Amino acid sequence: MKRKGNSELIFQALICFMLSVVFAYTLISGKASNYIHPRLFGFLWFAAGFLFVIGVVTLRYSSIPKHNAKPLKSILLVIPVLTALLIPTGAVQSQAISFGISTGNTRDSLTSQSSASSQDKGTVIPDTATSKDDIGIEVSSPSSNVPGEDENGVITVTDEQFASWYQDINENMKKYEGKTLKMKGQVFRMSTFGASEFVPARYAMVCCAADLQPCGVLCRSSAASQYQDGEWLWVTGEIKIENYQGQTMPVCYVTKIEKSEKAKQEYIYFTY
Amino acid sequence: MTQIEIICGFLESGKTTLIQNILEQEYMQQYRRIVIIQCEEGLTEFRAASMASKDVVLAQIEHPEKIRKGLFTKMKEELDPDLILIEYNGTWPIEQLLRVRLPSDYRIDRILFCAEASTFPMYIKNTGNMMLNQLGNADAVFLNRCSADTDTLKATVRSCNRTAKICFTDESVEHCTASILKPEEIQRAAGTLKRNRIGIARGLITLYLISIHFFLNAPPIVKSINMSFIGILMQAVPFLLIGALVSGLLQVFVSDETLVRMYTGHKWLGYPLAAVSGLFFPICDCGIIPITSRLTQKGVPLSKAMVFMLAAPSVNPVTIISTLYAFPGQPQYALYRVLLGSVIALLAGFILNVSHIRSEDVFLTFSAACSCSAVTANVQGSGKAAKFESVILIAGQEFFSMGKYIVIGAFVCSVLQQTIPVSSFRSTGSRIILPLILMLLAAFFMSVCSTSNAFIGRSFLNIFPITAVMGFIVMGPMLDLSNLLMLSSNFKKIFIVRLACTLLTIAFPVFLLFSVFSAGGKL
Repeated sequence: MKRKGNSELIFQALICFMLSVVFAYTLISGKASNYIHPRLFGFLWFAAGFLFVIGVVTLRYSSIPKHNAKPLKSILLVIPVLTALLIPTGAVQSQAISFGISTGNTRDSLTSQSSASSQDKGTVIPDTATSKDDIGIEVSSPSSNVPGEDENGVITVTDEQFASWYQDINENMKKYEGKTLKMKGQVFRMSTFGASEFVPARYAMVCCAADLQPCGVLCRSSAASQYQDGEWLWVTGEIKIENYQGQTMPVCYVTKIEKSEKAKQEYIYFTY
Repeated sequence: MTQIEIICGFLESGKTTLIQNILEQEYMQQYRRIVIIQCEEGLTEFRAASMASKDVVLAQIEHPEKIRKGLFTKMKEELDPDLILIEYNGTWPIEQLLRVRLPSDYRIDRILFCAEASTFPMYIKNTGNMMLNQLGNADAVFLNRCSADTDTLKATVRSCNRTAKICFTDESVEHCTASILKPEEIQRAAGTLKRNRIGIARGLITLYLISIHFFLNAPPIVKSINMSFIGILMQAVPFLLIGALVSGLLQVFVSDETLVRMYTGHKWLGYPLAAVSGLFFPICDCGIIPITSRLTQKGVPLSKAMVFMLAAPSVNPVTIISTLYAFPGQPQYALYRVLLGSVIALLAGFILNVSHIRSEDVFLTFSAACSCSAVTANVQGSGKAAKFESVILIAGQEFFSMGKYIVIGAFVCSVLQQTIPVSSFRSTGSRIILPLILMLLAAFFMSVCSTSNAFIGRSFLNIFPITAVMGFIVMGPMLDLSNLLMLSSNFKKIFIVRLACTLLTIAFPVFLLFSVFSAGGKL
């Protein structure tokens, strides 16, 4: 005489608990930042909590027997739990996500489309009114977190500054023209690049791992071919503004390349 | 082994006739002793030719409390039948019987639900939980004296019970009961069941071993796919849950009349209202669909509900903010998005309204009672705690029914994203039509949430003109793979195809006009 219950609901409650635990675990262990933008963490906490509540209530009602229960009805939802736990986290760094090396360059293509948007050219910087909505650091105001020159006239971009600097250099190219920059990134190449060209890129997440895109400034160096794709480098060089394949963009003429440690954070995060 | 069959349904639903028919069957001879328990007032005498030769014991129970363990143990001691037929009272909760701990070799085999076709829809509407309980647990549903329109009846049954066998004619009922009660059939079914189970178990174990091996030694591409798969899910699940929660709140706290009156109060005002009301549902497109289904189930006219569904992702405050962030310093794009979204939604609603689609062609579950009320059927009381539990239960069920589609959508999307390089779109020229088609296709397959697609759309801007990108941003949430899959849980396929075609035919001229406006209008 076995105890009776509703296997369908028991199974669903189990899935809720599992998902809730997976979410909470990724958040606590810090792995969540590999999957989604930190600004969505609050939502994920909500999801973990709410799923737990659903699990508890569902479990409570699972003691009412159901005759024709189909416990495997919701088995599809087990798949993400399994893959999240079993497949080791890897970097999404396939060449397939080469959206283009300049995400901030939207205006350049716009100007060729409509003259209307060229009027906006001067006012592209998101102002303080919008930056209040951010959960993260206020990167929006360019002055706050953009690297400055040191005594040797070199602008060093730290790991934390990369995102805000990248937005800044694409919006105010003139500011950097002729300056010496030191930046860190992984070697990234596209099939259209010449032999001396590469980008020391960081992968930027706008929302989740599905929209990761390499970001960086195009570099020219005769030594470029010595370095493998994906290698971490400190690259120092002088910025010039050029027209490259129809886009006006900064290009770095490299003076020095050093091998470097991996950045602490896997990805950089744009906060608008 | 003693087999117990439960025959339930309201008075006059043909339960007694069914038992009478069963007893008259030839194969019933093979049972040693049959006990018939009637849970109704007034004992009906069964007369059947086959009964004379064997033991048939009739028993009567007048109170649901009497159904307990003792009843069956006593029966086992005194009568030791090998078949028990229970004619169960339609007003007693079926859990009373299911909860009983039976003697070890007693087993509840099937629950058969009888109803008279003509009164069934009315009963379903008016008796609420009592009938839903029994219907939801049934293995087979027999609808007697059925005249025409079996489709509607079928849909009504399906809304409460997706798996039951439904019989409309006497022959099919006879066939069905034979498959349940004829000893040879039972043995054969048990054989196939066993074989199937062994097969499934083997398959699962092999799949498990392969996948463990595959997972642990996953090649980079699998890791990438998994990362973006989990990423999309982690991003979508919270919004889906918010949507399910709002839907549950709507179901429990907002009366049908208020909601319907809001949209039907004025003949034409309802449309702009439907378009604007998305402002108050700050959730993404995947969360809007359960709410839309709820609205239509509550009786909001289809065209208005569709306007709401199509416009909501565009006018939703979260989306507007994300669009502002995606196009920093260019608020006109957020405005374009809101305007284009509302215009397309209103046009689609207008066309739906003019084309007079019958609601039978639209809904899978054309019924006042939806599957969700079956979930809350067991919630006792009406206090705050009970309401809270109802909301959570509904949200949970919604999450599980939509969750499947999100998982499929996220999987397809991440596989496509990781295997098809975006650079393959690059070679197309700068004309409007081809980029627009490509972007609509991309939007369709990538199924990105309306709250985040502005960012992804923006990254296409250096390849495609703004019109195509606006197409991606605006049409994506209206017409994408995961949404269509989700819609298919509530709407008929033919309607979804129609909706998709309508949207496409509206979208093209609108976006061509927009491209003329944005390129030429200001020059």
